[in-house]
Amino acid sequence: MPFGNTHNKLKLKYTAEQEYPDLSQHNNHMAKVLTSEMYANLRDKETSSGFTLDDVIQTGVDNPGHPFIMTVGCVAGDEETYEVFKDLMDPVIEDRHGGYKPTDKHKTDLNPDNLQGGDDLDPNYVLSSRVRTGRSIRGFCLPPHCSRGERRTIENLSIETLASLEGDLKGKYYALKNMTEEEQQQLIDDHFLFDKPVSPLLLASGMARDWPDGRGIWSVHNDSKTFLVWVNEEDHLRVISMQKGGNMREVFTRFCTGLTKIEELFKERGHEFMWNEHLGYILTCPSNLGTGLRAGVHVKLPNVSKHEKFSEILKRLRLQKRGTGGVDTAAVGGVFDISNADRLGFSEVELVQMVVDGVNLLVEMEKRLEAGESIDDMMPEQK
Amino acid sequence: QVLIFAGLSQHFLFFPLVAEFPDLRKHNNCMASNLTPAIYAKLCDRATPNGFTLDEAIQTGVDNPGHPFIKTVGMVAGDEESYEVFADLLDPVIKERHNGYDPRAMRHPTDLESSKIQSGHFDERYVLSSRVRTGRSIRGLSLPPACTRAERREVERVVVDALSGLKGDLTGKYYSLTQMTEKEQQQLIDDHFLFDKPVSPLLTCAGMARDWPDARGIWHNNEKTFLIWVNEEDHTRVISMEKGGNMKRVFERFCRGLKEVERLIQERGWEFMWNERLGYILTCPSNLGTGLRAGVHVKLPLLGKDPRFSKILDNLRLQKRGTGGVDTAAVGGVFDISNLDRLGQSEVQLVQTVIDGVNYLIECEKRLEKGQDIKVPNCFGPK
Repeated sequence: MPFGNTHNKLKLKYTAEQEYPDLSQHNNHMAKVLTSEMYANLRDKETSSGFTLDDVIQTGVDNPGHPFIMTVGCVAGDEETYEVFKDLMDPVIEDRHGGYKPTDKHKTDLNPDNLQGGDDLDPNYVLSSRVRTGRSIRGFCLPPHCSRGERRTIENLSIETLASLEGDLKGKYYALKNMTEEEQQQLIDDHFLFDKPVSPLLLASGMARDWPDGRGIWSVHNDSKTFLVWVNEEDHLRVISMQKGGNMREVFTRFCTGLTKIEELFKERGHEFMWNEHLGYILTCPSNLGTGLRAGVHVKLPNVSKHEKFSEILKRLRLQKRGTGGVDTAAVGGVFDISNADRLGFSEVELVQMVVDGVNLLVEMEKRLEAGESIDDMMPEQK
Repeated sequence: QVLIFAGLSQHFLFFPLVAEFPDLRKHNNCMASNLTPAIYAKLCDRATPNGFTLDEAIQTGVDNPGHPFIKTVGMVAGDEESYEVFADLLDPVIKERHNGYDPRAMRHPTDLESSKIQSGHFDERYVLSSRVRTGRSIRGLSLPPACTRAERREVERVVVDALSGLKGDLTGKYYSLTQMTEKEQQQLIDDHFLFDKPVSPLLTCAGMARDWPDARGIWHNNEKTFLIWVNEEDHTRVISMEKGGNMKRVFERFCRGLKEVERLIQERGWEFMWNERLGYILTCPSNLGTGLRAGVHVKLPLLGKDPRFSKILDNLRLQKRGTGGVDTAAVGGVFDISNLDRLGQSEVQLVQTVIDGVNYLIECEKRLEKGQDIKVPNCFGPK
């Protein structure tokens, strides 16, 4: 929440110990890392837009977490957060992103020609393919902290910029607060519409303030090959490319082309995306740093998913499973959402390659098990 | 009064004022009815000495447009000074919510002399239970929407320390939400004393559930007739209750307990927030003045179905709720009946209003039982 800038200074009249949160019941990355010494060292700092340590950690304090699922427990309010609160963010990032060090460099590769194969995932098993990422516009605060004026400016900038996309990327913007009932129903039917967040993880960080002001969906309607942009949901922009079937290559190509074009158009208007060579693309949640990329498929794996080594296989392939409703949902009818587990430390091409190769292997395993054969000789090495 | 020009950090001042004004076109709450762009422009760069800003005060009303039938308040105070610093908005909100009460021109009467109450022992064939509640805030500490963890813990410490001095029938014990045993928790649930983390977006959007359950707890006397909630929606909520219809005794204990708690905190150098314009200062402007809700659970199966019921209640300055409290429905013809007003009349006056009103309702019920007709009473008291 954007508290007035005197609020943090007044807190300093209490000792660090008096202000230090009770994290004894907590299981999230922030709670593992934030000692009372660290709290004492960081609590008098602020980014230049006034984002404070307590703002960073509020979501993690309010949401103790789950014994099995380790949430991040902190957010960024602006690009500077990752610098000013480095002492907290670096170990959280290291823990969350497989040992990524403060000195490591992240590579960005949005050239779809570097992807091998990926155009023929078996459509008898792979029902749909999707790639998403996020982008933040440099110079503006992120959703937990932005004012209404900033959020509206981001929206206007996005509308203007996306309006100049042409050809098969030509689309239309639907502001959440202005859409007609008809438009709303269409967006729901297309599975495009996003709603006000209900997850306490998101609400506690303040990113749902002023809903639905400044929020909207921009989309291309192009047969059933989709490219859409969410504006001001959990990040400034979320960019999504998807279509039915198993042609991940086409999905990724459209994703890269679209993203690159959008970035160009923003630059023409004097705006860049938040990016640096250590953290890659800067987003609200530290878990989405680097590529911010989740490439995934909905795939029928009724047999493989029941195999005792399923979790181990996914781990070695650096993949993750979700239900078909997305994060925190269950699989229905043996259909799983399988996607890359990593975000940072691998390029976009590398991550999509892992998904393509991994899903191909899983489908082969599924076919073997269907035929009553063993898959013991197919176990992959740890990637 | 000291006003500090210390509002939003420099960063936000780049965005023109018009761009910051909330979109309240779909809103139906007291804040939205009274917040003009001119008032917003005047107040938006101010902060209270604790750093609480206008945007924080109105956030709950921006996030919760309201309901065509139920007009919510739509704003909160972050500290005692909010009612001064944001008076240009709060005064008209108070006037609208409290039937024309003008904080600039009028004085609020405080009267906790329970001996003045007449009759007050209801027919227990109809009245199942009697209850009086109010809230009290500790002067010098911020209110739940704005308080820091250290301040909230200080409220807890001050209150619990004072309550340990209560004697006789008021002797009791404190149960901290973070430390209660499973057994204690179950007992509090069975007694219907336990309060839980707020789920209402009206409350969560105002920031009062931050850091839950840190420094929250319940104190009650051994006889379970005097109960205090610590750090829920206000610093303290004070409740006196018992089964049956002896409202006079409930109110007597209420007044005695409140005065004793006040004496105990004063001994320790603290006081309650109070002034003669607004009476007792609480988080929600709807609870100013007495902060008092005196009510009964009463069986009115016939009257409850009579089309004149609402009008009768209106004229008696009473309100009905279901037996689960605010926003619940009546079950089995049992209603929660309580005073509508909070500010502009004293505690004694409001409790007398409830006593006289409920007696009238019981008379109506008895008449309907005998097949006799009932009359809608004339408008009661100031309108």
